[in-house]
Amino acid sequence: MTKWSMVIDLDKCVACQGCSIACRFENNTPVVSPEQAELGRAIRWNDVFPMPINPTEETGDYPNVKTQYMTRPCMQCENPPCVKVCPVGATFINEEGIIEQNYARCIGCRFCTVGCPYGVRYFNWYKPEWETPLAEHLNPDRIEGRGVLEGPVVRPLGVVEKCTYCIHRLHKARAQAVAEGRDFRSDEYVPACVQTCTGKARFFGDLDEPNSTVSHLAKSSRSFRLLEDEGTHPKTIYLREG
Amino acid sequence: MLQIKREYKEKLIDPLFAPLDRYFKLSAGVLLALILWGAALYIRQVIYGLGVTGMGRPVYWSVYIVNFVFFIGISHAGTLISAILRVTGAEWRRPITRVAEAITVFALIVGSLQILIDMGRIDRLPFTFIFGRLQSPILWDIISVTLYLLGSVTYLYLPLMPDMAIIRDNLPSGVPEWRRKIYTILSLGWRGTHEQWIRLERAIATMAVIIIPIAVSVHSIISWILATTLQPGWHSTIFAPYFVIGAIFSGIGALFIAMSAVRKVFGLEAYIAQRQYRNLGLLFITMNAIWFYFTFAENLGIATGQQTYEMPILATN
Repeated sequence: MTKWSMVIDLDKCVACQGCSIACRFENNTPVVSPEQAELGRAIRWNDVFPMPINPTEETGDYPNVKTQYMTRPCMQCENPPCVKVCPVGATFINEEGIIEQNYARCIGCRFCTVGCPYGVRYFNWYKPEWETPLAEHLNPDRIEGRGVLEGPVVRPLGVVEKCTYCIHRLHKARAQAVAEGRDFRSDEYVPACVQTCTGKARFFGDLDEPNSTVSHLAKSSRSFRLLEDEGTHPKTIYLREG
Repeated sequence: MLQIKREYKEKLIDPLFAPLDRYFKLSAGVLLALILWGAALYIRQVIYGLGVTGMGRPVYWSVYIVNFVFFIGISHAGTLISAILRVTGAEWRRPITRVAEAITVFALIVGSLQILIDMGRIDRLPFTFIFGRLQSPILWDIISVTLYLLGSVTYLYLPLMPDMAIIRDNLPSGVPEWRRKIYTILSLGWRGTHEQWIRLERAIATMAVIIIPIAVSVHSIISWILATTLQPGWHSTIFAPYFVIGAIFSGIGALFIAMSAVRKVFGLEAYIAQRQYRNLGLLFITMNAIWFYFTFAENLGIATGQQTYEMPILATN
């Protein structure tokens, strides 16, 4: 069984925010005005922020400062609190461990956004809009079928969206393998953020494959997961700064 | 024919058929204007999206859900007064029973509307039936609130039946035919026979016992919508009883306001008297004390535990 997983090495991360930009263009994440962002309505499937978010005594005063940055996609929990609370099954965990979001099903109750302890789920408060040059370069990829609307497709008003480890790329890679009449290999698919990472700090692969990079890194003594004690079992794994 | 004394008729029935006075028209007009204003704003919200509200991240739920919890809360007034006090045989509740039951029905309607207003995609409401997942607390909520609404309407209507028959049989002269018809239909052929009374009493007694656990479940489930998440401060075992006590507490508060208004407008000082106010006041204080006890117990645990995520929440309160 495949279990997709991402490892983020915080030692290599330079906080360039390239992952966030790549994600934005890959997944057509709507852009909001600064005033809207001020209200907490910015949509960032992948976010980069200082840790802790609010400086405290521990981080110190200049020049004796300790700075740490965190990059955060969806944790893709093995025991996802968001999936448990969805009243209509609009968000669900597929057999390969990826939490998907069906925009055609979501009723906009925002229970999952409240349920997620990582805050990685975002609501479309207004209809998504882009300025002219951006609007002409949207990613045409989409996953569409009977009652299903997923992937980078422009989201309808009033639904929740989230990072899906670029699931449309997995669909495309699989389709490619089928078209070429061969078996699909797990290294044929990576999310956009992993592909673009400047410091090569992000790794992606199958956690169920004992010899995959992510399996090796997950065993590292530096590895940890966010809010480990909440019992969500994230498949996005971090490597502590050394 | 159910005849009543002439003085009762003048006191209790004639006011129902008096021409509408200035104050009624004025207050109904103001309320209607408010409803229309709200409807216009709601249409605006449906067109532009929930962005027209002040919500954002992390405050994904706001006034609508607070309203929902509040109105469902005060709906517990009816259950407490008419069901719990009926079962325990507290006869002083009699004059204020109907006011309490009416609060329940109206507050439930207002409360459940809030959930619909809060939905991002109201057009997908049928999905909750077509694709509903029983594992989600929202489904528990839909089931329990619907059950509670149906139960409360039944519970309001059952004891109303003999009164409708009394009005039907004592209508003042010159009442239009359509009004006569309404009372005839609503009294469901009630003649006040011994056998009818026995059946009605049995039905009311059964409903009283059924409605108490439903009412408790409704507010417990509302609390579990919050408590089943991992949000610090919400993820707590005390939430269900805390919410139920709070609901009864605010329900009694609403009842005080409503019964005072009814007493004043209909001149029922002889019926809603000191006894009702005193006993209800005692209940009010009791609920207040339990509420304080729960708040204290909850916060003490957080304060002494000093947990990283919970403590800042308590500190900002």
